[in-house]
Amino acid sequence: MSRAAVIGVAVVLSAAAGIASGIRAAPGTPPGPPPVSADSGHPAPGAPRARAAAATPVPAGVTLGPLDEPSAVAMAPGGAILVAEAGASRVAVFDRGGRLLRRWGRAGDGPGELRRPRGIAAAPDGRVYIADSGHHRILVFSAAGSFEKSWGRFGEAPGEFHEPLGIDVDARRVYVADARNNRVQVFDREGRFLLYVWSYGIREGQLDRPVDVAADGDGAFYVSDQGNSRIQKFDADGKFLASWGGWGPYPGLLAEPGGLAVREGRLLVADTHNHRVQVFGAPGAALGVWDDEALGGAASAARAPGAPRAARAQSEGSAGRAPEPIDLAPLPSGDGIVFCDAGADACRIVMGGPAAPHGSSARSMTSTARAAALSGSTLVVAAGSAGFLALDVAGTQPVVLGVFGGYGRDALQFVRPAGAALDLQGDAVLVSDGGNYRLAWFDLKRAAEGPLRYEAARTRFVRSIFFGDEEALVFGPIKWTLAPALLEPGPIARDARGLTYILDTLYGRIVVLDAGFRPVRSWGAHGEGAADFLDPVDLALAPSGEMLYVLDAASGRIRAFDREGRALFAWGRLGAGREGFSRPTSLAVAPDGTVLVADRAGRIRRFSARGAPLGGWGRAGAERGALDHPERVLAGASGRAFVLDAGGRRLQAFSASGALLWDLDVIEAALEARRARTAAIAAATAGGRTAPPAVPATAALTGLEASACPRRIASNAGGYTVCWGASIEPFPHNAPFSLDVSVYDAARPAAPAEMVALTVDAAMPEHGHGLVQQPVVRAIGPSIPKEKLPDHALVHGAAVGNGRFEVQEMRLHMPGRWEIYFDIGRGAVIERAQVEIPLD
Amino acid sequence: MPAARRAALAVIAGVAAAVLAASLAAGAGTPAPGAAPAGSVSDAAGASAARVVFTEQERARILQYAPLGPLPADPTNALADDPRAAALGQRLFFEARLSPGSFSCASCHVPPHAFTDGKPVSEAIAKGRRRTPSLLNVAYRRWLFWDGRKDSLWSQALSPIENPVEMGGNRLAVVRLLASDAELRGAYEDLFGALPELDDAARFPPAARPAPFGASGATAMDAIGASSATGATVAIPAAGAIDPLAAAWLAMKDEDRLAVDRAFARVGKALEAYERRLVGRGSPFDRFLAELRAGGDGASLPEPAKRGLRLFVGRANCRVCHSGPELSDGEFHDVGIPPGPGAAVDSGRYGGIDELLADSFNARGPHADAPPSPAADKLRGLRRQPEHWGQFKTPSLRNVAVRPPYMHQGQFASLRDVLKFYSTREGALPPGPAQERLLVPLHLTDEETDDLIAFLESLTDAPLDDALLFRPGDPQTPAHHAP
Repeated sequence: MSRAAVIGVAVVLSAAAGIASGIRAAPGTPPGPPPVSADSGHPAPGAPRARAAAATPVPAGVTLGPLDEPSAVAMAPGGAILVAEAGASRVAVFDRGGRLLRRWGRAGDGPGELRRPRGIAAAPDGRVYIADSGHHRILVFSAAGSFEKSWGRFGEAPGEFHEPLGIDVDARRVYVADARNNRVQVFDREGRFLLYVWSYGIREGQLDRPVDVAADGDGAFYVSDQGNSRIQKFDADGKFLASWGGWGPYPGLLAEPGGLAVREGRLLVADTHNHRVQVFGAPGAALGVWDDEALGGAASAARAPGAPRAARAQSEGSAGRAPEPIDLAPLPSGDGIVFCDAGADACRIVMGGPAAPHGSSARSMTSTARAAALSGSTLVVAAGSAGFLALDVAGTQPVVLGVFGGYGRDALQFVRPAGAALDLQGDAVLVSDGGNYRLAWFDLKRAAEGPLRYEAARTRFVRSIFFGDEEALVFGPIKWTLAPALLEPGPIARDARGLTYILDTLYGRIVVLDAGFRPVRSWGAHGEGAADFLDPVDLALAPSGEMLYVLDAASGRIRAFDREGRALFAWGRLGAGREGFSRPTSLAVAPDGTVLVADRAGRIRRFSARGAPLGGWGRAGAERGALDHPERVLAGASGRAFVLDAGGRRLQAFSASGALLWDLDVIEAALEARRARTAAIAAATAGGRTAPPAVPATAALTGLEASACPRRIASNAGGYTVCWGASIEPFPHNAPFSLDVSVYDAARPAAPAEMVALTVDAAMPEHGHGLVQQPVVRAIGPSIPKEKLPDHALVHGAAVGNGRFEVQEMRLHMPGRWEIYFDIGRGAVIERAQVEIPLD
Repeated sequence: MPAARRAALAVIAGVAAAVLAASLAAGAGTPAPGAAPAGSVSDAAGASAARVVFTEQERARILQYAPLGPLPADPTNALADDPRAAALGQRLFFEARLSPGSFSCASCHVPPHAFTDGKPVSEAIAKGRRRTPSLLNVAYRRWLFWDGRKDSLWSQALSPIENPVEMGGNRLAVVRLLASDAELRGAYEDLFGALPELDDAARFPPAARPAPFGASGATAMDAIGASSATGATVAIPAAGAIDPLAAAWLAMKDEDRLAVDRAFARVGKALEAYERRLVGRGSPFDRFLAELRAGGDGASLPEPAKRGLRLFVGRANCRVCHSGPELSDGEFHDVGIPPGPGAAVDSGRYGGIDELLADSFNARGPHADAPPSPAADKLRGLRRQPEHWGQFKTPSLRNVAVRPPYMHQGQFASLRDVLKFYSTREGALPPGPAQERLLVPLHLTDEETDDLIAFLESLTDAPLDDALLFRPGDPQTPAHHAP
């Protein structure tokens, strides 16, 4: 069965979601030389600014800024530094010493005009190639900045793009990282398509959101495979050569990397969320690093653990911020680099070579996670790569209820989570896990002690739906009628009746699912028309559930729809002044129906339910009470607002008038919540239990003999019954055993379920680790022909069978509380059954 | 002392012990008030006031331990238990001609010193990056090396021979040595059949071996200009420089390389046969376990060791990783130990898994005599994850007291230092995403530390048979290069 079902589907592309990188405001002038670009307009091309005498030596680090969303940097052959400013849709040119020479480029929709340029490269002959992520095309300019040609448009055919984020040029070819199409395209210098590498996935040679590409001079090229946190190398024909990296804070590992550059056979990588730049030699060999101190931020290790970052930012100005390098270019002299800091709205020249690989950025790892949800007084917010933090926000200070999840592709992990919704009646959280193309439902288990406290270790994964495999969606039991079938889930909202509204950032539409993940309706498409969206970034439901608001960042409009998707009214626009947004990022609806809209420039605006302006507040800045590139806003009772800013690191609560109530470093709080449990876990392990509890049987199941079902558990959502038995009981310590598993549809227990995929895993949630080896699952019974096996099951290592399985290589290597998970998949939906095994 | 008084004290001690045990069983973590302090001496006869009586739960946990059972089979080495192979292996173990620097296996695995060298990191041709593991009971290991990059003892034995900072040899030279020494040749061919014919200089260079595995970050090539113990300077190619041995290896034909590899693998198999005999027995702890199993109260174990054992299976949580007959789970953990004198950046298991899966001498490779049965295939289901970074193998605690220093770079000079680290967690690395979450400061008192050390000392086996400790044929000659 070809992988085409997963990857090569006709993709009508939506506009960019545009939140791939954490964005933070410049906190003011960092110590050192003053910023050099104080111009306010469009200086005449070629007119350099007057500067102090050239006799002064170039200082060790020079800041180029403030810039409007600097997204990419390249070295021109003559030694000038070219910076693509995505926010202002223009290019800034600096000289080697950091002096601004000129700016060129113009925002607009006409030929040669730009909208959110995110990639820039200089050809050996001086021409400048720009990847325009807003218009989804490539533009070519002369060295002086006059427009020469362009090609491409929104789409998925060869030569079309969906958010091109990275570009490189060598003597003969142009390489484009076509991020949302999960592919790299190669053209000749005139824009004629030559080849592509196009395969979405986690295996070698597959890509998940490639954000940059760098040619090595011999036609081979490197790809920054951001979603997989790794680098891949392909030869001149696009054949896979090597892959290395993987997610993590240690030397040689990467955390959602950004831009690449090649110099003399070495690859430099902007390791964005590890706050460093790494240098690699032969594939995988980490040779050096510029850590966050070298890049100009204060070392994150110097922070006292537990001190909220925002608080330190107030006392130390910019010194507490870790840089987020989004792109870089090596200086031609080889004695340093220039990189762009997504959070600081500035680029910086760093002199000096890299240090030897060292250390770990574990404590400061941020991520692209930007999800938050509020229901009543319970707030959940994505806390970088530490998972989700649950807070009680009723009081004057937030109370941490718990933390769950982490970074990755397992059931209780997330990659680029973009949205969440709470269902407090059932103590459930729905997470829109964009990078894993799935919607996942979790039960938050209330702890025994305290009125409202969630036991992180007992948060259960219940059920999920995977949106990345068209076949599984269409031919599975869900009766998936959506066309196009695939979607990449962005922000979500849930109404009281259990309907989930999903912002599909792949197609620019709204998709509505019922509680069983069945599509109810959908509307919208990418485009400029009245019924279309260009760059939808957020959605929110009115308290009655009768109206849905959708925010489009490209137009600055908030559109209101009824539940059937009929457009009701709209308001808002981009522009300067009180009435216009600069770049709106999020909206929320308060219990009283008023609508809040957050603007990247640091303002929160309030509107009535019909869009009448009610004022606003907020100022840009990194100190407490200011807004540092706000990305998510939630609206509580009494006009309260909760704002996630500072690159997803900080949550602040404001009163109706905009007065700061409290602020919280969410990543620090999540790590602290994990740590606080450690002593209790250690004591519980020491204490332990002498005998495992008797495993309770579920209620008698008609049609199932007790002998056929030695141990019986219901899946967490009740859709399946799992019967299992072990080859050795009680379970041996650190010795292999096997399991016999039979899966039944709960509604039809007479015979085992047909065509289900099973993966089995186990973990010690309190200890934070799982098995040392992946168990091997084999279907028992007549084998199913390969053509009939669903692709995604094979990709994820499941065995597919008609309900009966054998699991080998189970080995519980440590004493303590284990949970064994049976993840049952049918079509695109996975449901979990689990059992607790205390091993003393 | 009067019997009545002694009995009364025993009763009081028993009650105090029971209170102490109960508080531990409840996980309270501190001795119950009123419990007699450990180590107290109450009377002139020297009987300690607090006799340890284990609770049922403690007993159950203690009885999860056992002496080492029979040697696990190694299907990948058909001659693993062959005495002639063991004899050849023992000879090779002390054979300094395997190395241009005149180092033998015994140079670092010094037999009278628990088959290790007492140094924080190995020192042969150059300083290595990790602590030399002890070879006592090595046949019971599931994985070899601190990072688990070898899955059989015979393939592990080949690695130091070619490591440029350890013995610095190469497989071509090893096979030539076998061919040129009549005794070795005879012993080899008795067991394995003919050696490959190495006369054709065009096909078989004098020295060659594959490039050291690079992607794991192993910096085998980064020591420059080190000198061997005899003072000779041995040149090691700098990083990035062309490696002439590797170039020579690459120039060989496939079938010739295979022939050399086969002979080289057999050298490892002979070494394994010898090393499988390095099995310790007769530790006081094993005696104690036998007594417990027979229904006694394990009186042979001194009280301090019993108190230490109680901590070991109780609030100190040592048993969580140091479990099973080896007192090791055989798996890998990151306990946050700061780097020592070895390599500054050590990826541990993360690099080890890569290297293991790429190793042509692993259990699935062409040189394994029989592939392991599916049930015994350790490599099945082995998948590298980010959490493997910085994980190192849980060492076995048998004979731990006789082989300082400790941890993967010899960071701790004594058992007391190890316990101080677990007790205070001072200097521990900041926790990464996957570090063991159980690690809280234990706040051990001095007496508790003494007791744990007493228990650990009870894990020392009786000395091995002398015949195993020396080069065969020279029973009284100390091993070459003994420190």
